This record gives sequence, C-alpha cells and structure tokens, in this order.
Amino acid sequence: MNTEQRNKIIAQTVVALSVIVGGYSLFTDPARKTLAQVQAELQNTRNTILEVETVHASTPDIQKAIIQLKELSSQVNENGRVARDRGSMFAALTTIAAQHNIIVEQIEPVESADQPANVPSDNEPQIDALYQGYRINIIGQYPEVVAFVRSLQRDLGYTIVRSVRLTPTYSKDSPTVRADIETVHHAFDIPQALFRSTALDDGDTP
Amino acid sequence: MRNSSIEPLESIALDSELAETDWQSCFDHIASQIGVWSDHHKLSGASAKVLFWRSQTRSKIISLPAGTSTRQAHSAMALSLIESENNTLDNLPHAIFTLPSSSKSSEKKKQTGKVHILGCVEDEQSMQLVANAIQNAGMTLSAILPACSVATVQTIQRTLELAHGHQPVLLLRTDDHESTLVGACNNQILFIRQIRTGMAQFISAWLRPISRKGPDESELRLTEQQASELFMTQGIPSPDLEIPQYQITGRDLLPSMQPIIQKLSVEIKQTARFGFETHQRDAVKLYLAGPGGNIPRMGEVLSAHLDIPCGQNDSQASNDSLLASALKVNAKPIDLSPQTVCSLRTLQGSQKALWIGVAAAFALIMADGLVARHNIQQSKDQLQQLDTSFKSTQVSQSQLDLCNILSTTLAMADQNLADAFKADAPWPFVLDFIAKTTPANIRLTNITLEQDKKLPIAKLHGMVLADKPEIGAQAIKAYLDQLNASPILNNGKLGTTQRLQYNGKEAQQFSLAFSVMPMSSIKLFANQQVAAVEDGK
Repeated sequence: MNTEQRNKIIAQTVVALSVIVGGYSLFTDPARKTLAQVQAELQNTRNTILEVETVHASTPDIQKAIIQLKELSSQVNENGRVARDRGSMFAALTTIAAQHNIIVEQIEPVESADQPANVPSDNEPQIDALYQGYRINIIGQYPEVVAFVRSLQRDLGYTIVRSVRLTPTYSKDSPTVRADIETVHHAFDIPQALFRSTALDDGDTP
Repeated sequence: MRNSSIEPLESIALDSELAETDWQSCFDHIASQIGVWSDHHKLSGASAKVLFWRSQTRSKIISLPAGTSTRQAHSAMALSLIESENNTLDNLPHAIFTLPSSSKSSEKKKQTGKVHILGCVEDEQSMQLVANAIQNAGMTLSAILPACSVATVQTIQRTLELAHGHQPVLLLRTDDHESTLVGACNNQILFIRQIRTGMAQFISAWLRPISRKGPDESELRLTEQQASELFMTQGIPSPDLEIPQYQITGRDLLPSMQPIIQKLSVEIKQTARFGFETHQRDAVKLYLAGPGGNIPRMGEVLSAHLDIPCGQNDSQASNDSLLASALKVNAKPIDLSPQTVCSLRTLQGSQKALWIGVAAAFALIMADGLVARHNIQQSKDQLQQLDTSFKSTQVSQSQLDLCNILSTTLAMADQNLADAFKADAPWPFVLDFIAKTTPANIRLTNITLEQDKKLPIAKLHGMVLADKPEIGAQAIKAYLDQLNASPILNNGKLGTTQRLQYNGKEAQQFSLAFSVMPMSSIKLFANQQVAAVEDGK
C-alpha cells in the first residue's frame, strides 16, 4: 500500500470514526442519559413509596391525632377570640360582671404599639399572635370583685390581669370597693389554612 | 465459466516464437482480443481469473525434512527465490505455497513426510500488462495463476487419490509446455519434480523437415497445426504405422521424437531412483494425467523405456484441462497479481473492512439506542404505575405532614402562652388571703396588685387603730408576719408609717409591699409539694 492509499485509508478511518461518534452522540448518548435520569427518578419514587407505605400503615392513628390536634387548635383560636374581637370582649365582660353583681363603670381599650411580629415563613409553621389591653373600672363588694377577677383569669381566654387597684368607697349602705383593673388579652391563632387542608378534612372522616 | 462448466468460448493462435522473444507485443494482441471478447460476451463487471503460461515464469519446488515448520519452509523458499532472482521479492509478484504432502485422512495424524514448498516469481511489468488487459476489458481481476503451479497442485492432489494403499505411484502430468512428476506411497508425497518437457516439444520436433524412407527419400514439412493434429491423433507412432495422408510411416517420424522421449525417460528414471526406496521401485506404477495422458501410446512408450508398468490412464485427470484445475484450486496462495493490484486489493479490502466495521458499529449504536429507548419506555411505564400507587399512599404522608405541622404550631402557641403568662399572678387568691388575714383593727385604704417589671407585686396601704405607737407598731408587725407566712407573698417590707387621727382616734398609717409568687412558680411549687408528700408516703 503506497502513501496515497495509506492517507486515503486514514482519512476514511477518520470519517468513519466521526460518523460513529456522531451517531453515538446523536442517537445513543441522549437516550442513555435520559434512561439514567428516568431510572434515578424511578429509584427515588420506589424509595419514597417505601417510606410512605410505612406511614400508610399507621394512617388511622394519624387521623385520630389530627382530630385531636384540630380540636386543640380550635380551642386555642377560641381562647384568643376576645383579643381579636372587641364586641365579644364587651359581651363576655358584661356577662361576667352580671354574674358577680359588679357595676362596670368604664371599659377602655388600651392601644398597644409593641404587638408581636409575625414573620411569614414558607418553611416553618407560624402562629398569628397578638394581644389587646383594656382598662376596666368597676364597683362591687370585695368578694364579688375578687370573684370577678377570678372569672377574668379563668373564663376569658388568654387573659392576664396586669394590675388591680382596690380602694374602698366608704358607702354607708353597703361596703363596696372600686377596682381599677388592667387586663391584657392574648391570641395565638393557628392559621386557618391548616384547617382548610384536604388532609385535615380527610382526618375529619377517618 | 457458465453453469458450473467451462465453455471454451474463444481462442486465439499465438506465435510461440514471438511469445518467447517479445512477450509484451504478443500480449498486446491478446489484450485487444480480450476486450473484444468481453464486449461480445458481455463480461463487463465479471470476476476474471487468469491462467497463464510463460516460459519466463520462474518456478521452484523444494522439499524439506519432516517437522520443518511452515514459517521456516517459506523462509527457505523465499531465500532460494531471492538468490535465484538476485533481487528482493518486495517488488516482484511472487507466490510461496505449501503443497499438500499427504491425503486428508492422514493429515490428521502427525506429519511424518517431507514438506514440499512451491515458489514462483514473475515480472511486475508482465503481470501489470495482464492486469491492465483485464481491467481495460471491464472485468475485475480475481487472480493471476501460473499454469505450472496449478498443474503441480492438481497433480499432487490426483497422486494422493491414487496412492491410497501401499502401492507406490508415479504420476506424470504432461501439459503443453512442461510436465510434473509426482511420486507417492502410503498416502505420502515422496517427491515432486517439474520437467520442462511438454507436448509442445513433441510437436515442435515434427516442425523440422522429416525424411521419408523410400525410393524418392523426399522431405516432408508439416505446419504447426498439422503437426499438432498428427500428434494428438497418432501420439507416439509405432514404426510400422502408415500415415497415408502424408505418405509417411512411424519409422519416419520417430527419429525426431526420440531425443525428447529419451530426455523425459531419463528425467523420470533418475527422479524415481532417488525418490523411491528400492522395494518401492520394484512395485511402482506409472500413471499419466493431464492433456498428455490422452496422447496415444505415450504410456506404452514410457513404460517400455522406464521398465515400469503403466497403470490405466487416469481418464478423469486426463480430461481435466488445466483451466478446470485452475478454477478448482485455491487461488490465493499462488496468485501472482502485480503489486499495484495487490495494493489496490488491500486498499479495497481495508475499505470494505472499515465500512463493514462502521456499519457494524452503527448497527450496535442503533441497537443500543433502541434498547435504551425501550428501557426508557419501560421505566416510564413503571414510573406511571408507581405514581398511581404512590397517590393512594400519598394522602397518608400528607396527613402525617399536617399532623407534624399542627403539633409544631401548637407547641409554638404553647411556648408563646408560657412566655406571656410567665408573670401572671394568682390575684384572687392574694385578695382572698389578704381579706382573711387582715384583722379587725386594721383598715386597708388601698390594695394595688400589679406586674412591676414583669414581676408581680402587692402593695397595701392602711392604718391600724392604736392609742399608743408601740401597740400600732406591734399590730403592723404581726400583720406583716402573718402575710409573709403565706407561700405566695414573699419579701414583705414595711414602707412608711405615720401617726394620724382617724375619726378622732389615734391611728398608725402604714404601707406594705410584697413580691407575689407567679402562677408558673406556684405550679412548680405545688408539684414539688405533691412529690414530697408522695415521697413521705
């Protein structure tokens, strides 16, 4: 084989190799890469299903827990209602006062500038926290005032009695006291979005 | 060749003298004729195998001892050819070929016979002429085979067929220009000899003037065609044979033929003497093959000269022309194609191999790609099935996630609640306790319960009715101690005291301050008390 023929063979070999490499790059290589991706996805899905199947076995327990948690959450939100709704606050306060024969002279909301900062986060669940203060002036007999304060703390959600100032009225008819009470009512609401979740709905009907 | 048989379609008479002296001119004539035949018989594109005879073809056979490897044997032949050519073989068309030395059945056994190597060399230029002629005629040159080599191969194969027993066999194949003598016994080729005597020599002998024995003693001159026809019909005539056509007898023809017969006989005798063992020589039989086998009385005459019985003429071998042998023989080892053709063939072979490789590689790539795509589809199907089953279980996972979120959120709410109520105090309990503890001689004018700096405190303002300051002080102290005794009021401190008149009576005004135990601490305290009681049990 002379030099010209050898060069010809070399050139043809190069062309042939190019054709083979090109064919591989265009036809086989993308398919192999796609296959690797699909198989990796398949493996991931299998692993996930294995994990989920373990969870799936304890579905009834989870659903019971969801119901309980939902009830607790509802209770938490209910306890914070008076902090959010002034109307509810006045109604509840009036009811308690009537129960204990207390004369409510004045109820005055106290605006608070330092409300808790609720920073929304995508990763962590958040509660919607706030508080509302009131200044309440009442008149009543000492035991009833004490009972009134007890009811404030016990029956009015997340209520903190920050201060109580008692002074006697020196009435001749009946010994009464005037009480200046400062309260703070807290709310730590669980987001309603969690209640609207399908999973939660599913949890309602296990 | 058509329909598996040879058709002697065309022939051309050559000037044998010109072929000897100026082969190129002679072949030019043949080349042009080949073109004409190719057109006439539409042979364009056909594969052509050329069988040629040239007196200039250098052919050799060497026999080497048993056990010589093929490589060594070929090297020996190459050295022999180089020595005789006085040139390297690189640029010369040449062939070196191991001749079969035993029958196929005995080949399986260990080789015990000699190794016979055939070598032949031609001129590049001459072979190029042949190649050009074939190419110009539009055909593809398959091989150029020297007739002498083909004849040798064919003769050896035929000899092995005849020498299947203990009978020693001597087979003489006579072609136009040379003869091949092969001796064999016990399925083994013992010797191979090429003799430069063929039918052409016999015919040439009759081209010289032939003296008629008779009254006029005239001379007869035969043409080449007449001599050829006479030789093929009468062979080696008996002395008494009369040939009326030319008014001669066998006695007239034999003298010119006698030296050739003598030479041939001597060659055969000498070869047989050295090739066979003594006991083999006594039993040897002579066979004739090739075109010479059909010459009348050839075997009879040689048998008489050699004193060797002549076996039945091998009609099959005799009728087998050299052309037929050339078609049967494996041409590759004895091909004398010129280097340019060989290079081109190598190139074409390489190209063919290359593109077959490319095609195979491409097929593999395609197959691999298709398999990968098939696997992708399968995986996707599986994925789809898994997705379906996944969705059924996914609800559980999302419920668990929700459960976790709710728990975490409630825990956060609980923590916030604990923080907010950290300083919450049991004010009603404090007020009840104060009411129960305050004696009748003490009048409280103000009770302040508040969270001061996140700590609950209780402040009491009041007065004690006492005529004397000492009594008032004692009452205040007792009151302070009584309040301090409570677990929820701690660190009681007496503030300012002042004497004053209250409704016309002496009184001692005072102020007290306590820290109040917050609810969180009370719970802790209660738990500790419960634990202590349980431990006491």
